[in-house]
Amino acid sequence: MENYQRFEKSAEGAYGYKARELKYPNRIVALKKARFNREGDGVPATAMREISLLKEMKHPNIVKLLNIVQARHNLYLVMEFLDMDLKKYIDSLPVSEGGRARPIPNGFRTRLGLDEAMVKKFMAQLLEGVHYCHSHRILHRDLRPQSLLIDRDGTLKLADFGLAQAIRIPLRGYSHQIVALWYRSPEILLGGPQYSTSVDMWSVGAIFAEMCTRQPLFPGDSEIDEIFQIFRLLGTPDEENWPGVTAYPDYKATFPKWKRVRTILVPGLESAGCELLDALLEYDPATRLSAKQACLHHYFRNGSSYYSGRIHPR
Amino acid sequence: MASSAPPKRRIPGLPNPVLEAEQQKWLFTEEEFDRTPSRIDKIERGKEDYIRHRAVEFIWQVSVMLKMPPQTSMTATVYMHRFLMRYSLMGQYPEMGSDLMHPKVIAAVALFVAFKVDEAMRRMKDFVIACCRVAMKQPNLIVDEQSKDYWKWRDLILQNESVMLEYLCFDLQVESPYRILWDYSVFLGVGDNRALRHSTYS
Repeated sequence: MENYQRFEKSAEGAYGYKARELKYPNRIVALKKARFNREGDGVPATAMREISLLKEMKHPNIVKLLNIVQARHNLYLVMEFLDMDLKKYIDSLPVSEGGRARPIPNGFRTRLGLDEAMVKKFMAQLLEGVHYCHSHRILHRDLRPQSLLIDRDGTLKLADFGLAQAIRIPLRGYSHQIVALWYRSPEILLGGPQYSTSVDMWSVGAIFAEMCTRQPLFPGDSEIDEIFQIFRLLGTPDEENWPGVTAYPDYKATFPKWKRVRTILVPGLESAGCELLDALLEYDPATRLSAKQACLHHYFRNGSSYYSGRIHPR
Repeated sequence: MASSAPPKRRIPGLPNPVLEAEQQKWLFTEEEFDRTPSRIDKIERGKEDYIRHRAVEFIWQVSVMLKMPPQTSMTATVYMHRFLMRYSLMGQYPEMGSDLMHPKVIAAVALFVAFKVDEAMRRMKDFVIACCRVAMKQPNLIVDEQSKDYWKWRDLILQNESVMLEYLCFDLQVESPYRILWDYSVFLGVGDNRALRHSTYS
Protein backbone atom coordinates (compact mmCIF):
# COMPACT_ATOMS: atom_id res chain seq x y z
CA MET A 1 0.00 0.00 0.00
CA GLU A 2 2.91 2.32 0.70
CA ASN A 3 3.68 2.24 -3.01
CA TYR A 4 0.60 4.25 -3.76
CA GLN A 5 -0.12 7.81 -2.90
CA ARG A 6 -3.70 8.76 -2.68
CA PHE A 7 -4.39 12.24 -3.94
CA GLU A 8 -7.93 12.69 -4.91
CA LYS A 9 -11.08 10.99 -3.94
CA SER A 10 -13.26 10.42 -6.93
CA ALA A 11 -16.61 12.06 -6.70
CA GLU A 12 -18.48 8.82 -6.40
CA GLY A 13 -17.61 5.46 -5.00
CA ALA A 14 -17.91 3.67 -8.31
CA TYR A 15 -14.24 3.23 -8.86
CA GLY A 16 -12.74 4.31 -5.61
CA TYR A 17 -9.73 6.51 -5.25
CA LYS A 18 -7.46 8.12 -7.73
CA ALA A 19 -3.89 7.42 -6.75
CA ARG A 20 -0.40 7.85 -8.00
CA GLU A 21 2.02 5.01 -8.05
CA LEU A 22 5.21 6.12 -6.34
CA LYS A 23 7.49 3.89 -8.33
CA TYR A 24 6.22 5.27 -11.59
CA PRO A 25 5.14 8.81 -10.73
CA ASN A 26 3.51 9.32 -14.07
CA ARG A 27 1.22 6.41 -13.80
CA ILE A 28 -2.11 7.26 -12.31
CA VAL A 29 -4.24 4.39 -11.15
CA ALA A 30 -7.60 3.89 -9.56
CA LEU A 31 -7.79 2.12 -6.23
CA LYS A 32 -10.93 0.28 -5.35
CA LYS A 33 -11.22 -0.70 -1.75
CA ALA A 34 -12.89 -3.86 -0.56
CA ARG A 35 -13.22 -4.07 3.19
CA PHE A 36 -12.64 -7.32 4.99
CA ASN A 37 -15.58 -7.84 7.17
CA ARG A 38 -14.23 -9.65 10.20
CA GLU A 39 -17.60 -9.61 11.91
CA GLY A 40 -19.45 -11.15 9.02
CA ASP A 41 -18.31 -12.93 5.93
CA GLY A 42 -14.65 -12.12 5.48
CA VAL A 43 -13.50 -11.04 2.04
CA PRO A 44 -16.55 -9.82 0.11
CA ALA A 45 -17.70 -12.27 -2.51
CA THR A 46 -18.10 -9.46 -5.02
CA ALA A 47 -14.42 -8.53 -4.73
CA MET A 48 -13.37 -12.14 -5.13
CA ARG A 49 -15.39 -12.56 -8.28
CA GLU A 50 -14.35 -9.24 -9.71
CA ILE A 51 -10.67 -10.06 -9.25
CA SER A 52 -10.81 -13.60 -10.56
CA LEU A 53 -12.79 -12.58 -13.64
CA LEU A 54 -10.92 -9.39 -14.46
CA LYS A 55 -7.66 -11.29 -14.18
CA GLU A 56 -8.61 -13.44 -17.14
CA MET A 57 -9.80 -10.70 -19.39
CA LYS A 58 -7.72 -8.74 -21.77
CA HIS A 59 -9.58 -6.51 -24.15
CA PRO A 60 -9.28 -2.84 -25.14
CA ASN A 61 -12.84 -2.23 -24.01
CA ILE A 62 -12.55 -3.83 -20.59
CA VAL A 63 -10.90 -2.09 -17.69
CA LYS A 64 -7.52 -3.55 -16.74
CA LEU A 65 -6.72 -4.88 -13.31
CA LEU A 66 -3.12 -3.97 -12.60
CA ASN A 67 -2.49 -5.26 -9.14
CA ILE A 68 -4.05 -6.48 -5.94
CA VAL A 69 -2.80 -5.21 -2.61
CA GLN A 70 -3.68 -6.76 0.70
CA ALA A 71 -3.39 -4.25 3.47
CA ARG A 72 -4.31 -4.93 7.06
CA HIS A 73 -8.06 -4.86 6.94
CA ASN A 74 -8.64 -4.00 3.35
CA LEU A 75 -8.10 -5.39 -0.04
CA TYR A 76 -7.29 -2.92 -2.77
CA LEU A 77 -7.87 -3.48 -6.44
CA VAL A 78 -5.46 -1.41 -8.48
CA MET A 79 -7.00 -0.61 -11.82
CA GLU A 80 -6.26 1.64 -14.72
CA PHE A 81 -7.66 5.08 -14.21
CA LEU A 82 -10.33 6.50 -16.49
CA ASP A 83 -11.60 9.99 -16.12
CA MET A 84 -15.32 9.54 -16.02
CA ASP A 85 -18.25 7.24 -16.57
CA LEU A 86 -20.94 7.41 -19.19
CA LYS A 87 -23.49 8.82 -16.76
CA LYS A 88 -21.29 11.79 -15.94
CA TYR A 89 -20.36 12.11 -19.57
CA ILE A 90 -24.00 12.53 -20.55
CA ASP A 91 -24.56 14.96 -17.67
CA SER A 92 -21.63 17.08 -18.77
CA LEU A 93 -23.09 17.76 -22.19
CA PRO A 94 -24.25 21.33 -22.73
CA VAL A 95 -27.93 21.95 -22.16
CA SER A 96 -28.44 22.58 -25.86
CA GLU A 97 -27.44 18.98 -26.48
CA GLY A 98 -29.72 17.59 -23.83
CA GLY A 99 -27.20 17.43 -21.00
CA ARG A 100 -27.01 19.32 -17.75
CA ALA A 101 -23.77 21.16 -18.45
CA ARG A 102 -22.04 19.66 -15.42
CA PRO A 103 -18.35 20.54 -15.21
CA ILE A 104 -15.97 18.05 -16.73
CA PRO A 105 -12.74 16.85 -15.10
CA ASN A 106 -9.56 18.70 -15.94
CA GLY A 107 -8.27 15.86 -18.04
CA PHE A 108 -10.79 16.48 -20.76
CA ARG A 109 -9.27 19.13 -22.94
CA THR A 110 -11.87 18.99 -25.63
CA ARG A 111 -15.49 18.16 -25.51
CA LEU A 112 -16.16 15.15 -27.63
CA GLY A 113 -19.89 15.64 -27.59
CA LEU A 114 -22.35 12.86 -28.15
CA ASP A 115 -23.58 13.19 -31.69
CA GLU A 116 -24.69 10.28 -33.80
CA ALA A 117 -21.16 9.32 -34.80
CA MET A 118 -20.06 9.33 -31.16
CA VAL A 119 -23.05 7.22 -30.09
CA LYS A 120 -22.14 4.77 -32.80
CA LYS A 121 -18.56 4.69 -31.61
CA PHE A 122 -19.60 4.05 -28.00
CA MET A 123 -22.10 1.41 -29.06
CA ALA A 124 -19.50 -0.39 -31.15
CA GLN A 125 -17.06 -0.41 -28.24
CA LEU A 126 -19.70 -1.45 -25.75
CA LEU A 127 -20.88 -4.31 -27.94
CA GLU A 128 -17.37 -5.53 -28.59
CA GLY A 129 -16.62 -5.50 -24.88
CA VAL A 130 -19.81 -7.38 -24.10
CA HIS A 131 -19.15 -9.80 -26.92
CA TYR A 132 -15.72 -10.50 -25.45
CA CYS A 133 -17.23 -11.20 -22.04
CA HIS A 134 -19.91 -13.47 -23.43
CA SER A 135 -17.51 -15.38 -25.62
CA HIS A 136 -15.49 -15.99 -22.46
CA ARG A 137 -18.64 -17.30 -20.79
CA ILE A 138 -18.88 -14.33 -18.46
CA LEU A 139 -22.10 -12.50 -17.68
CA HIS A 140 -21.56 -8.92 -16.61
CA ARG A 141 -25.00 -8.53 -15.01
CA ASP A 142 -24.48 -4.93 -14.02
CA LEU A 143 -24.39 -2.95 -17.23
CA ARG A 144 -25.51 0.61 -16.67
CA PRO A 145 -24.04 3.98 -17.65
CA GLN A 146 -22.25 4.24 -14.30
CA SER A 147 -20.31 1.05 -14.92
CA LEU A 148 -19.04 2.15 -18.33
CA LEU A 149 -15.91 4.22 -18.00
CA ILE A 150 -14.72 6.70 -20.60
CA ASP A 151 -11.27 8.16 -21.04
CA ARG A 152 -10.28 11.44 -22.58
CA ASP A 153 -9.91 9.96 -26.05
CA GLY A 154 -13.44 8.68 -26.05
CA THR A 155 -12.57 5.07 -25.36
CA LEU A 156 -15.25 3.23 -23.49
CA LYS A 157 -14.43 0.40 -21.10
CA LEU A 158 -16.56 -1.99 -19.13
CA ALA A 159 -15.92 -1.93 -15.40
CA ASP A 160 -17.60 -3.00 -12.17
CA PHE A 161 -17.46 -6.74 -12.48
CA GLY A 162 -18.57 -7.16 -8.87
CA LEU A 163 -21.80 -8.80 -9.95
CA ALA A 164 -20.34 -10.68 -12.89
CA GLN A 165 -20.49 -14.44 -12.93
CA ALA A 166 -19.10 -17.17 -15.09
CA ILE A 167 -21.84 -19.16 -16.78
CA ARG A 168 -21.77 -22.70 -15.57
CA ILE A 169 -23.39 -25.77 -16.91
CA PRO A 170 -25.75 -27.15 -15.75
CA LEU A 171 -27.43 -23.79 -15.62
CA ARG A 172 -28.85 -23.10 -12.27
CA GLY A 173 -30.85 -20.27 -10.89
CA TYR A 174 -28.62 -17.42 -9.95
CA SER A 175 -29.43 -14.45 -7.83
CA HIS A 176 -32.15 -12.09 -8.96
CA GLN A 177 -30.76 -9.11 -7.17
CA ILE A 178 -28.72 -8.14 -10.17
CA VAL A 179 -28.61 -5.30 -12.64
CA ALA A 180 -29.74 -1.82 -11.63
CA LEU A 181 -33.51 -1.65 -11.87
CA TRP A 182 -33.66 0.66 -14.90
CA TYR A 183 -31.57 -1.73 -16.97
CA ARG A 184 -33.07 -4.97 -15.76
CA SER A 185 -34.58 -7.20 -18.40
CA PRO A 186 -38.21 -8.35 -18.30
CA GLU A 187 -37.34 -12.01 -17.78
CA ILE A 188 -35.61 -11.15 -14.49
CA LEU A 189 -38.39 -8.78 -13.48
CA LEU A 190 -40.92 -11.54 -14.04
CA GLY A 191 -38.92 -13.84 -11.79
CA GLY A 192 -37.58 -16.21 -14.43
CA PRO A 193 -35.62 -19.04 -12.82
CA GLN A 194 -32.80 -18.96 -15.31
CA TYR A 195 -31.26 -16.29 -17.39
CA SER A 196 -28.32 -15.96 -19.67
CA THR A 197 -26.33 -13.58 -21.83
CA SER A 198 -29.53 -11.95 -23.07
CA VAL A 199 -29.91 -10.03 -19.78
CA ASP A 200 -26.81 -8.05 -20.68
CA MET A 201 -28.15 -7.34 -24.14
CA TRP A 202 -31.34 -5.81 -22.74
CA SER A 203 -29.18 -3.46 -20.65
CA VAL A 204 -27.20 -2.57 -23.76
CA GLY A 205 -30.44 -1.66 -25.52
CA ALA A 206 -31.57 0.55 -22.64
CA ILE A 207 -28.16 2.25 -22.57
CA PHE A 208 -28.30 2.78 -26.33
CA ALA A 209 -31.61 4.61 -26.05
CA GLU A 210 -30.28 6.64 -23.12
CA MET A 211 -27.26 7.75 -25.13
CA CYS A 212 -29.52 8.97 -27.92
CA THR A 213 -32.14 10.75 -25.83
CA ARG A 214 -29.95 11.57 -22.78
CA GLN A 215 -32.77 10.23 -20.64
CA PRO A 216 -33.11 6.79 -19.10
CA LEU A 217 -35.57 4.77 -21.12
CA PHE A 218 -37.37 2.99 -18.27
CA PRO A 219 -36.80 4.98 -15.06
CA GLY A 220 -38.99 2.83 -12.85
CA ASP A 221 -39.06 3.44 -9.11
CA SER A 222 -40.03 -0.08 -8.11
CA GLU A 223 -40.08 -3.49 -9.73
CA ILE A 224 -43.72 -3.28 -10.67
CA ASP A 225 -43.38 0.28 -11.94
CA GLU A 226 -40.40 -0.85 -14.01
CA ILE A 227 -42.41 -3.69 -15.54
CA PHE A 228 -45.29 -1.36 -16.34
CA GLN A 229 -43.04 1.27 -17.87
CA ILE A 230 -41.62 -1.37 -20.18
CA PHE A 231 -45.08 -2.72 -21.05
CA ARG A 232 -46.50 0.74 -21.64
CA LEU A 233 -43.79 1.54 -24.15
CA LEU A 234 -43.37 -1.82 -25.88
CA GLY A 235 -46.82 -3.28 -25.34
CA THR A 236 -47.71 -6.02 -22.86
CA PRO A 237 -46.09 -9.24 -24.04
CA ASP A 238 -48.27 -12.24 -24.82
CA GLU A 239 -47.67 -15.82 -25.89
CA GLU A 240 -47.36 -14.62 -29.46
CA ASN A 241 -44.35 -12.33 -29.16
CA TRP A 242 -42.86 -14.10 -26.15
CA PRO A 243 -43.64 -17.82 -26.03
CA GLY A 244 -43.78 -19.00 -22.44
CA VAL A 245 -44.23 -15.61 -20.84
CA THR A 246 -47.39 -16.65 -19.01
CA ALA A 247 -45.46 -19.39 -17.24
CA TYR A 248 -43.13 -16.95 -15.48
CA PRO A 249 -43.57 -16.95 -11.70
CA ASP A 250 -44.41 -13.26 -11.44
CA TYR A 251 -46.56 -13.03 -14.54
CA LYS A 252 -50.12 -12.06 -13.73
CA ALA A 253 -53.02 -12.54 -16.06
CA THR A 254 -54.35 -9.30 -14.61
CA PHE A 255 -51.57 -7.17 -16.07
CA PRO A 256 -53.09 -4.30 -18.05
CA LYS A 257 -52.97 -5.02 -21.75
CA TRP A 258 -51.14 -2.14 -23.31
CA LYS A 259 -50.65 -1.92 -27.02
CA ARG A 260 -47.44 -0.63 -28.42
CA VAL A 261 -48.18 2.88 -29.66
CA ARG A 262 -44.88 4.41 -30.54
CA THR A 263 -43.25 2.40 -33.25
CA ILE A 264 -40.11 4.51 -33.14
CA LEU A 265 -38.65 4.56 -29.64
CA VAL A 266 -36.00 7.15 -30.28
CA PRO A 267 -37.04 9.93 -32.61
CA GLY A 268 -34.33 11.18 -34.89
CA LEU A 269 -32.30 7.99 -34.86
CA GLU A 270 -31.43 6.55 -38.23
CA SER A 271 -33.60 3.62 -39.25
CA ALA A 272 -30.85 1.02 -38.91
CA GLY A 273 -30.30 2.23 -35.36
CA CYS A 274 -34.00 1.85 -34.57
CA GLU A 275 -33.90 -1.68 -35.91
CA LEU A 276 -30.91 -2.48 -33.72
CA LEU A 277 -32.64 -1.00 -30.69
CA ASP A 278 -35.79 -2.98 -31.34
CA ALA A 279 -33.79 -6.16 -31.72
CA LEU A 280 -32.00 -5.51 -28.41
CA LEU A 281 -35.26 -4.77 -26.61
CA GLU A 282 -36.88 -7.92 -27.93
CA TYR A 283 -39.09 -9.55 -25.29
CA ASP A 284 -38.24 -13.18 -25.89
CA PRO A 285 -34.73 -13.78 -24.47
CA ALA A 286 -34.23 -16.60 -26.93
CA THR A 287 -34.62 -14.38 -29.97
CA ARG A 288 -33.06 -11.24 -28.54
CA LEU A 289 -30.03 -10.15 -30.52
CA SER A 290 -26.74 -11.55 -29.25
CA ALA A 291 -23.63 -9.43 -28.88
CA LYS A 292 -22.05 -11.19 -31.82
CA GLN A 293 -25.03 -10.57 -34.08
CA ALA A 294 -25.22 -6.97 -32.88
CA CYS A 295 -21.58 -6.38 -33.86
CA LEU A 296 -22.53 -7.50 -37.38
CA HIS A 297 -25.72 -5.44 -37.51
CA HIS A 298 -26.00 -3.12 -40.49
CA TYR A 299 -26.17 -0.16 -38.13
CA PHE A 300 -22.41 -0.58 -38.26
CA ARG A 301 -22.21 -0.37 -42.00
CA ASN A 302 -18.46 -0.88 -42.17
CA GLY A 303 -18.27 -3.45 -39.40
CA SER A 304 -18.18 -2.61 -35.71
CA SER A 305 -14.39 -2.51 -35.52
CA TYR A 306 -14.42 0.39 -37.96
CA TYR A 307 -16.42 2.51 -35.55
CA SER A 308 -14.94 1.33 -32.29
CA GLY A 309 -11.65 2.90 -33.24
CA ARG A 310 -9.72 -0.34 -33.38
CA ILE A 311 -9.07 0.19 -37.06
CA HIS A 312 -8.47 3.83 -37.74
CA PRO A 313 -10.22 5.15 -40.82
CA ARG A 314 -7.71 6.43 -43.32
CA MET B 1 -23.96 -32.10 -52.30
CA ALA B 2 -21.79 -30.66 -49.60
CA SER B 3 -24.66 -28.70 -48.12
CA SER B 4 -26.73 -31.82 -47.53
CA ALA B 5 -24.02 -33.48 -45.42
CA PRO B 6 -24.83 -33.46 -41.71
CA PRO B 7 -23.06 -30.73 -39.78
CA LYS B 8 -19.80 -31.93 -38.35
CA ARG B 9 -20.00 -32.56 -34.67
CA ARG B 10 -17.43 -30.68 -32.74
CA ILE B 11 -15.41 -32.86 -30.47
CA PRO B 12 -15.88 -31.41 -27.03
CA GLY B 13 -12.87 -30.25 -25.15
CA LEU B 14 -12.14 -27.34 -22.94
CA PRO B 15 -14.27 -24.82 -24.75
CA ASN B 16 -12.51 -21.74 -23.57
CA PRO B 17 -8.94 -20.93 -24.58
CA VAL B 18 -8.54 -18.25 -21.90
CA LEU B 19 -9.67 -20.56 -19.15
CA GLU B 20 -7.52 -23.32 -20.54
CA ALA B 21 -4.42 -21.15 -20.48
CA GLU B 22 -5.31 -20.04 -16.99
CA GLN B 23 -5.71 -23.59 -15.77
CA GLN B 24 -2.57 -24.80 -17.50
CA LYS B 25 -0.56 -23.13 -14.76
CA TRP B 26 -2.15 -25.41 -12.23
CA LEU B 27 -1.48 -28.71 -13.96
CA PHE B 28 1.46 -30.61 -12.58
CA THR B 29 3.60 -33.50 -13.68
CA GLU B 30 4.30 -36.58 -11.62
CA GLU B 31 7.82 -35.33 -10.82
CA GLU B 32 6.47 -32.06 -9.58
CA PHE B 33 4.38 -34.00 -7.10
CA ASP B 34 7.62 -35.16 -5.55
CA ARG B 35 8.64 -31.58 -4.98
CA THR B 36 5.59 -30.17 -3.26
CA PRO B 37 6.30 -27.93 -0.26
CA SER B 38 5.17 -30.69 2.07
CA ARG B 39 7.58 -33.16 0.46
CA ILE B 40 10.42 -30.72 0.94
CA ASP B 41 9.42 -30.57 4.59
CA LYS B 42 9.92 -34.34 4.75
CA ILE B 43 6.31 -35.43 4.65
CA GLU B 44 6.03 -38.65 2.71
CA ARG B 45 3.96 -38.88 -0.44
CA GLY B 46 1.64 -41.46 1.06
CA LYS B 47 1.01 -39.30 4.08
CA GLU B 48 0.24 -36.26 1.96
CA ASP B 49 -2.12 -38.23 -0.24
CA TYR B 50 -3.89 -39.48 2.84
CA ILE B 51 -4.28 -35.96 4.17
CA ARG B 52 -5.66 -34.75 0.83
CA HIS B 53 -8.07 -37.64 0.90
CA ARG B 54 -9.27 -36.72 4.37
CA ALA B 55 -9.65 -33.08 3.37
CA VAL B 56 -11.85 -34.03 0.42
CA GLU B 57 -13.93 -36.16 2.74
CA PHE B 58 -14.31 -33.23 5.10
CA ILE B 59 -15.44 -30.96 2.27
CA TRP B 60 -18.06 -33.43 1.09
CA GLN B 61 -19.41 -34.06 4.56
CA VAL B 62 -19.85 -30.36 5.27
CA SER B 63 -21.34 -29.85 1.79
CA VAL B 64 -23.91 -32.55 2.30
CA MET B 65 -24.86 -31.08 5.66
CA LEU B 66 -25.41 -27.67 4.09
CA LYS B 67 -26.95 -29.01 0.85
CA MET B 68 -24.34 -27.35 -1.34
CA PRO B 69 -24.56 -27.85 -5.09
CA PRO B 70 -22.05 -30.61 -5.98
CA GLN B 71 -20.32 -28.20 -8.31
CA THR B 72 -19.36 -26.00 -5.38
CA SER B 73 -17.85 -28.90 -3.44
CA MET B 74 -15.95 -29.84 -6.56
CA THR B 75 -14.56 -26.33 -6.85
CA ALA B 76 -13.56 -26.44 -3.19
CA THR B 77 -11.59 -29.65 -3.65
CA VAL B 78 -9.76 -28.10 -6.57
CA TYR B 79 -8.85 -25.10 -4.41
CA MET B 80 -7.63 -27.42 -1.67
CA HIS B 81 -5.41 -29.43 -4.02
CA ARG B 82 -3.98 -26.31 -5.62
CA PHE B 83 -3.32 -24.78 -2.23
CA LEU B 84 -1.32 -27.80 -1.12
CA MET B 85 0.88 -27.47 -4.18
CA ARG B 86 2.15 -24.21 -2.75
CA TYR B 87 1.73 -24.58 0.97
CA SER B 88 3.47 -27.04 3.22
CA LEU B 89 1.50 -29.05 5.70
CA MET B 90 4.28 -28.29 8.12
CA GLY B 91 3.53 -24.60 7.68
CA GLN B 92 6.93 -23.06 7.17
CA TYR B 93 5.58 -19.64 6.46
CA PRO B 94 5.30 -17.80 9.76
CA GLU B 95 5.61 -14.49 7.93
CA MET B 96 2.15 -15.12 6.57
CA GLY B 97 0.80 -14.55 10.03
CA SER B 98 -0.49 -18.05 10.55
CA ASP B 99 1.84 -20.89 11.22
CA LEU B 100 0.39 -24.31 10.95
CA MET B 101 -2.83 -24.77 9.12
CA HIS B 102 -4.62 -27.94 9.98
CA PRO B 103 -5.86 -29.95 6.98
CA LYS B 104 -9.41 -29.63 8.24
CA VAL B 105 -9.01 -25.88 8.34
CA ILE B 106 -7.61 -25.90 4.82
CA ALA B 107 -10.63 -27.86 3.68
CA ALA B 108 -13.04 -25.57 5.48
CA VAL B 109 -11.46 -22.42 4.07
CA ALA B 110 -11.46 -23.88 0.55
CA LEU B 111 -15.16 -24.57 0.84
CA PHE B 112 -15.77 -21.14 2.32
CA VAL B 113 -14.10 -19.47 -0.67
CA ALA B 114 -15.82 -21.80 -3.12
CA PHE B 115 -19.36 -21.11 -2.01
CA LYS B 116 -18.76 -17.39 -2.05
CA VAL B 117 -17.41 -17.47 -5.59
CA ASP B 118 -20.12 -19.86 -6.73
CA GLU B 119 -22.98 -17.78 -5.42
CA ALA B 120 -24.19 -20.57 -3.21
CA MET B 121 -24.15 -18.38 -0.13
CA ARG B 122 -24.62 -19.97 3.24
CA ARG B 123 -24.80 -18.15 6.50
CA MET B 124 -21.49 -17.91 8.31
CA LYS B 125 -23.12 -19.28 11.43
CA ASP B 126 -24.50 -22.38 9.71
CA PHE B 127 -21.21 -22.99 8.01
CA VAL B 128 -19.17 -22.77 11.21
CA ILE B 129 -21.59 -25.06 13.03
CA ALA B 130 -21.42 -27.62 10.22
CA CYS B 131 -17.61 -27.51 10.37
CA CYS B 132 -17.65 -28.09 14.12
CA ARG B 133 -20.02 -31.02 13.77
CA VAL B 134 -18.01 -32.72 11.06
CA ALA B 135 -14.72 -32.07 12.83
CA MET B 136 -16.06 -33.62 16.03
CA LYS B 137 -17.69 -36.46 14.08
CA GLN B 138 -20.98 -35.76 15.83
CA PRO B 139 -23.56 -34.84 13.21
CA ASN B 140 -26.18 -33.80 15.74
CA LEU B 141 -23.89 -31.92 18.08
CA ILE B 142 -25.48 -28.81 19.48
CA VAL B 143 -22.99 -26.03 18.98
CA ASP B 144 -23.50 -22.97 21.04
CA GLU B 145 -22.65 -19.69 19.36
CA GLN B 146 -20.77 -18.57 22.43
CA SER B 147 -18.74 -21.73 22.81
CA LYS B 148 -14.99 -21.88 22.47
CA ASP B 149 -15.11 -24.28 19.56
CA TYR B 150 -17.43 -22.08 17.58
CA TRP B 151 -15.18 -19.04 17.92
CA LYS B 152 -12.04 -21.02 17.28
CA TRP B 153 -13.40 -22.27 13.96
CA ARG B 154 -14.80 -18.94 12.97
CA ASP B 155 -11.57 -17.08 13.62
CA LEU B 156 -9.49 -19.72 11.89
CA ILE B 157 -11.64 -19.55 8.78
CA LEU B 158 -11.61 -15.77 8.59
CA GLN B 159 -7.92 -15.47 9.35
CA ASN B 160 -6.87 -17.98 6.79
CA GLU B 161 -9.17 -16.91 4.01
CA SER B 162 -6.87 -14.19 2.75
CA VAL B 163 -3.89 -16.53 3.02
CA MET B 164 -5.70 -19.02 0.86
CA LEU B 165 -6.68 -16.37 -1.67
CA GLU B 166 -3.13 -15.18 -1.95
CA TYR B 167 -1.72 -18.67 -2.39
CA LEU B 168 -4.31 -19.40 -5.03
CA CYS B 169 -3.28 -16.17 -6.77
CA PHE B 170 -6.97 -15.30 -7.01
CA ASP B 171 -7.32 -17.91 -9.75
CA LEU B 172 -10.78 -18.77 -8.61
CA GLN B 173 -12.52 -19.59 -11.86
CA VAL B 174 -12.44 -23.31 -12.29
CA GLU B 175 -13.92 -25.29 -15.14
CA SER B 176 -16.50 -27.57 -13.68
CA PRO B 177 -16.22 -31.25 -14.53
CA TYR B 178 -19.98 -31.18 -15.04
CA ARG B 179 -19.55 -28.94 -18.01
CA ILE B 180 -17.24 -31.42 -19.68
CA LEU B 181 -19.68 -34.19 -18.81
CA TRP B 182 -22.51 -32.17 -20.31
CA ASP B 183 -20.57 -31.40 -23.49
CA TYR B 184 -19.90 -35.07 -23.98
CA SER B 185 -23.46 -36.12 -23.31
CA VAL B 186 -24.61 -33.63 -25.96
CA PHE B 187 -21.90 -34.89 -28.27
CA LEU B 188 -23.05 -38.47 -27.82
CA GLY B 189 -26.66 -37.41 -28.30
CA VAL B 190 -27.87 -38.38 -24.84
CA GLY B 191 -28.22 -34.85 -23.46
CA ASP B 192 -31.98 -35.26 -23.15
CA ASN B 193 -31.82 -38.47 -21.17
CA ARG B 194 -33.01 -37.25 -17.81
CA ALA B 195 -32.32 -40.38 -15.82
CA LEU B 196 -28.79 -40.63 -17.13
CA ARG B 197 -28.19 -36.99 -16.45
CA HIS B 198 -29.29 -37.30 -12.86
CA SER B 199 -27.15 -40.31 -12.18
CA THR B 200 -24.06 -38.67 -13.64
CA TYR B 201 -24.52 -35.43 -11.79
CA SER B 202 -25.02 -36.96 -8.39
